[in-house]
Amino acid sequence: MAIGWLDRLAAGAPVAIFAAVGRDAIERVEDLSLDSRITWVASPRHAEVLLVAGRIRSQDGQALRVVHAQIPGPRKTLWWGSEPFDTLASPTVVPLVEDALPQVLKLRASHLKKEPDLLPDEPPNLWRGVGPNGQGGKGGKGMMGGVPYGRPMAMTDEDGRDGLQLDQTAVTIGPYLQAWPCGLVLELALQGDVVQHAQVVRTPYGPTNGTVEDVSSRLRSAARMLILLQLDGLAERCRRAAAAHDCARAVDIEALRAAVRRSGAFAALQVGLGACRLEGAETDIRSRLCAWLGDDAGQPKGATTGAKPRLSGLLTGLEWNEAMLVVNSFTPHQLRGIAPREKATDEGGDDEPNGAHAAMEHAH
Amino acid sequence: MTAATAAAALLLMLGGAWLVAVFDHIAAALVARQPIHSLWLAPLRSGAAHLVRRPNRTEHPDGLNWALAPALYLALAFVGMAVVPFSTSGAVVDLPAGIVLWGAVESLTIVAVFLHGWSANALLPLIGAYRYVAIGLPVMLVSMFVLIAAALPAQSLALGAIVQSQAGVWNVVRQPLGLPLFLLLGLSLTLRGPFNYADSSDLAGGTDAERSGPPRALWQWARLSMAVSFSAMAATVFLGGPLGPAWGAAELGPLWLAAKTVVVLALLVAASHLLARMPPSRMLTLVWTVLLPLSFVGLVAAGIEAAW
Repeated sequence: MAIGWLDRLAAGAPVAIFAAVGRDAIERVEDLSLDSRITWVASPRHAEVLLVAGRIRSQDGQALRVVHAQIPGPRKTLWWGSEPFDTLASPTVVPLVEDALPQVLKLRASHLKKEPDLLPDEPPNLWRGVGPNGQGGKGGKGMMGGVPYGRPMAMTDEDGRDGLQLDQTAVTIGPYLQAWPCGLVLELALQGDVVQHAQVVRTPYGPTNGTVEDVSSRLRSAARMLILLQLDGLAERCRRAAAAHDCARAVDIEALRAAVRRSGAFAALQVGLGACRLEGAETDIRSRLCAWLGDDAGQPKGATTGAKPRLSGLLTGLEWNEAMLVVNSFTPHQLRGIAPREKATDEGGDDEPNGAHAAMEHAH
Repeated sequence: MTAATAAAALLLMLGGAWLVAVFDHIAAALVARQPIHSLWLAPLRSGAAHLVRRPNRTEHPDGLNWALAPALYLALAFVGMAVVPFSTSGAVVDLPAGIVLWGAVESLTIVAVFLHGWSANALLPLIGAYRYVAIGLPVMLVSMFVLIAAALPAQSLALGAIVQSQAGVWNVVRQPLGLPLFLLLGLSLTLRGPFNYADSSDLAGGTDAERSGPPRALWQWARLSMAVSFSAMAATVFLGGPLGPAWGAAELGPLWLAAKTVVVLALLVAASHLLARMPPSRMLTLVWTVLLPLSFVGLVAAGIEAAW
């Protein structure tokens, strides 16, 4: 009785979706999230529906399985312009050109058969080490470092800022984070939350359908940055303005810029952070955000580098939040130019067609 | 303690938590310039949605702390409220050094949030945990200076005496730096807006990133409850707590306290939605080089005034 009452109350809440965004789908997801019946959550643990939007690279298949496993049960998945895994019996599929909202709402209301786990419910690697006491890792030193049985183990290394010896851990970030360029996968060496070294493992997708940057795409980029500044309401305003611009409706960017200025967002961003020469001009994250909001006057006053920028170089020495801000301070078009693949993997090139997806499934 | 005081405290904690969620709903809609949908029920629906989802378990978590951290955070919010005087006759727990107990609540909140992030055994929550400690500790120092300054006119650490010392003029007027600086502590204690370094969006939810189901509902409730507890404390220390105008009856004390608490809650929610969050290193510099000296200046000024 009580449970039924709770279920009815919960049914009135917006549907919490986690979006795994593939190629050419980010704008569709952002527009979908503007509906008050949807809430776009940052972690799969907080979602009830997994939205797989756009074509997913075969190399990202394993990451998608992990995200799928992280959705709390009874999980539901909507494949929006994407190809479902073969192992799913009756997936819900919608073409990307159609509106996903009715299907999301229908999924919430439906009592579908439990979606099977795509990964076994067990640790991905065994909990045991190497050495006489099971403590060390192959490729490490003594009791530390290396990757014992698939688990990267911390190893001391010099902090790039002051040479202090600290534990360093290797982590792979992307491609499915909310405030993150679609498709980008980075391998980071972290000391605490400071990036000591970064490598691009998979490159980000380019602009949707190869379109040139316009007001809409700039506003969407600004929205992603504002989310990182904890300004969700203003980010929503930017996304709404972008959607309005796409529909050829008038947008008051000046008012938007004034609201962002009042929030202290520009002042919060350190001058010179993420500074580089881009398209012939010296810019930093503050000036890039200014430019997206229609103010080209915001040139950086701090030190800048004249060298050709590379994303991995820009991230070195930054702490996590700064690194996230820098990564999101480039438009998809700019990011394609500064984030070439730097680490070869066994999984083939970045742009392997989605047809290889099924083959990879079976190989695993 | 009377049963009526305990009931009033409980009512304020439960109703206040719901009210914070309503305020959040309103603020989010106003900032986004959108109409407000299902205002009164939205927080309850959101809470129910958390409750009906299944809880999860990460790989090799610190099980005990993983389970206890949200409960500890919630308990600290209630402990903080317990020392708030609801009337001139007293609080749920009337301590001669009530403000010191509140200081302990602040410190232990840092422990609770850290354990929440630590115990998940996952990268993003762990970063959130460490980051919170780095920012939370100096902000707590700011708060200590502010609270000592507020206690000086009363020459007592008892919250009842601090309330009585404001019978002529409230501390918000006598010590104008106090409430704004104390509000920063409120943002930090409740993981909000410009001081949300623990559960932030750049960490996919931070210490909360790996939570689902009822434990997540408990964590969110604890955050809302801490906002109420903090606001009641701020209303007590800076806005005269249960003191009303001279023409009012003394029995109206709890209502005055509730009204002032709601005002502080509104300020807290507005700051959460309107102000940008700096990168942690920049905030750390601001806290140590500007806010902490500022709070010390406030303390010295309060000391001089008290000795005059």
